[in-house]
Amino acid sequence: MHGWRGKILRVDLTKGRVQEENLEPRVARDYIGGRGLGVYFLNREMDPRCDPLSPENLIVMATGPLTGTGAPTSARYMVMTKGPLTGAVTCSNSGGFFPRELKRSGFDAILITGRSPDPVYLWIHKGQAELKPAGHLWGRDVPETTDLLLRETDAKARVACIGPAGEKLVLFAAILNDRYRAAGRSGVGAVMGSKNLKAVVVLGEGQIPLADKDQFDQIQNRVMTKFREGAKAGPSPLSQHGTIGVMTPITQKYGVLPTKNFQQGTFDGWEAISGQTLTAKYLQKTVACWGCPVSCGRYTKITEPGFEGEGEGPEYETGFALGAMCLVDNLAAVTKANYVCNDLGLDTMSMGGTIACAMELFEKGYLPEKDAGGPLKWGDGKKVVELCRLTGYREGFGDLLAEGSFRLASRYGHPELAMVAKKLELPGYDPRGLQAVGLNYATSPIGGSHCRAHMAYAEMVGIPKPLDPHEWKGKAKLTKFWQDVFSIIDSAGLCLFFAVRNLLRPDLEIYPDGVLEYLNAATGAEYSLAELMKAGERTLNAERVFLIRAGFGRKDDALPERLTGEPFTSGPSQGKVSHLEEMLGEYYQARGWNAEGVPTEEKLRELGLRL
Amino acid sequence: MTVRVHLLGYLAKYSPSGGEKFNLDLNPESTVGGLLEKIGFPAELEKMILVNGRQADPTVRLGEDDEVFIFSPATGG
Repeated sequence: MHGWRGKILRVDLTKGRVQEENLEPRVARDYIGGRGLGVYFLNREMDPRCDPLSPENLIVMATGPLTGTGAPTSARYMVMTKGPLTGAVTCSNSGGFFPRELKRSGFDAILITGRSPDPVYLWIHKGQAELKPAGHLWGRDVPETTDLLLRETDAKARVACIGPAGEKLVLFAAILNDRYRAAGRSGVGAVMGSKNLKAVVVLGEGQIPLADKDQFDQIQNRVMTKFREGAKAGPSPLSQHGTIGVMTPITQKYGVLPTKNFQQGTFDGWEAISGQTLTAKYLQKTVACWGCPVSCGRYTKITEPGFEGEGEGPEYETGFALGAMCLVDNLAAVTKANYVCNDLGLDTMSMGGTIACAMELFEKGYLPEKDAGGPLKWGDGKKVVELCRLTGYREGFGDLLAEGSFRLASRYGHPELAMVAKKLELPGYDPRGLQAVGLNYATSPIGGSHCRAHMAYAEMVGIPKPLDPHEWKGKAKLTKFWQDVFSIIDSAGLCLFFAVRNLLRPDLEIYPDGVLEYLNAATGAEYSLAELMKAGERTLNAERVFLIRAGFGRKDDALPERLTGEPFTSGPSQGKVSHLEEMLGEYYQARGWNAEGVPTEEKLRELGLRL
Repeated sequence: MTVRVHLLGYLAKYSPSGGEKFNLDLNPESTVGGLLEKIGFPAELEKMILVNGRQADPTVRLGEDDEVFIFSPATGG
């Protein structure tokens, strides 16, 4: 096979056995790779009703056929499992250098099941895999674990591991690779922790075989020449000030920067936590994943007393969650909290959302001070840093925060104060001022995520074309279309950033023409555009099948009441709420699902799926 | 009348003051297009324009103390 490696690695941790197997070419073609391949195996090999932290849960780590090929931003892999925070399927995606190394090691995917009696790590080198003892690593944070593993395996290897948060089963623990890159969402790190699997370490060799290298190079030259031409107007904003520099001013100006646990859509302290401030005060250098011409990553250093440290971050989502959501306008505190989350292996988005929820519960008198271990005041940056640390170790009040905002708010009788969809903390774009964004949060298979179809690109940034953010009519069909295309990008092994701006048709119907070209040159599969679109739709429906089997339905395609019932009282989106209910029926219809959100027999047959 | 202008990132090179944010005096009933012309913003350059947080095109008429925010949607990654 070309593009694909044609092999998967099976790891049974209960039996301590590793085994390789061929990847069926038909499955590769129908599901592309990455996210598609992940859900194919989840549906085939596990019971979606299982306890996510039980040995029965399956983790799939999958690359796509473009991962590691050198196509721009082809540095991604996907972690698919049943998420302990949500009970839903996960799509936790990460870049850096580990994914390319995994692909070079000779496997398209690793399937991990069972539970090891003792802590272990998986060491894959030159096509061979073995489980090694990890007792000496247990309890160690991400940088320590990474350093020790590189010393005892190979300095050139790449490491994906969990920190104390994953070991302690924090429900939003992440898997960190290359120290700072996170497969962040839904608690995939806790699933690894529940299996006593501390890390996956890979060392590969050689290049990824391509079906038509000349054709691939021609596409590459054309795409990169156009990209460089576009950049002549000025430095890429993402490279200059990072995602935090691009998004913070824009969400603020539209009045959709979620602030004070979504009580406001603007934040007076927004400039203090923007990328421009980060560049001026703390940026050491910009950082790129393997094969990326964008370099949106930030390597930063803080010397201010109480917040000293260095590392990567913060991204926009971290700035919004640990900053605006908690009313913290101290960028040193936000950045330090980011470092703590990285070191301990926590998702910064769910962490910030959960702290903000706790602050509102406290403010309203629902959360007693004795439970919180002291007062929780909006804007207390020092407290936010401390709470991240306590959560990572499940110490004190951190043990309650470790359950995420939905369980925390429910414990104190006010689940409506958890700003979540399917129990996953929402990203930094308020759906009251961005209608399609809200529909996507509610229908995204993993819950409150922007990455399964970033409708804010059109509604807010004007990519590929501006779309009226306050209009809800006509958005359902478009959201469905975008979700299918994003699943193709996820499955191919590309990053959304470059693809959205450079590999899709510059129309609101973002047909993935550029991705198609790259895929065909890499794999020789001769996909047609229609076939590729169907593969994207198949993945979305396969994920829906997983959800339906796990007990999800229309009731779960929901947003917090605050977003559908409490209009903004000020700012550019004043008076607006999310019109989710009006859009949802139209969305199901566009999907070929019944009124309960279940795929019809006809749709399933068309895509070769079964409920 | 005076409007407040915010040019994001490298677009600040079209600012009369060199900074990202500045106040600009315009004739009453000026439009967004008039503002762009006054600061020498190239018409062909891809841009998103917000007036008081609402998407606007060059024909939109400006009022006293309006906030005009201009950013590039697509440069680079």
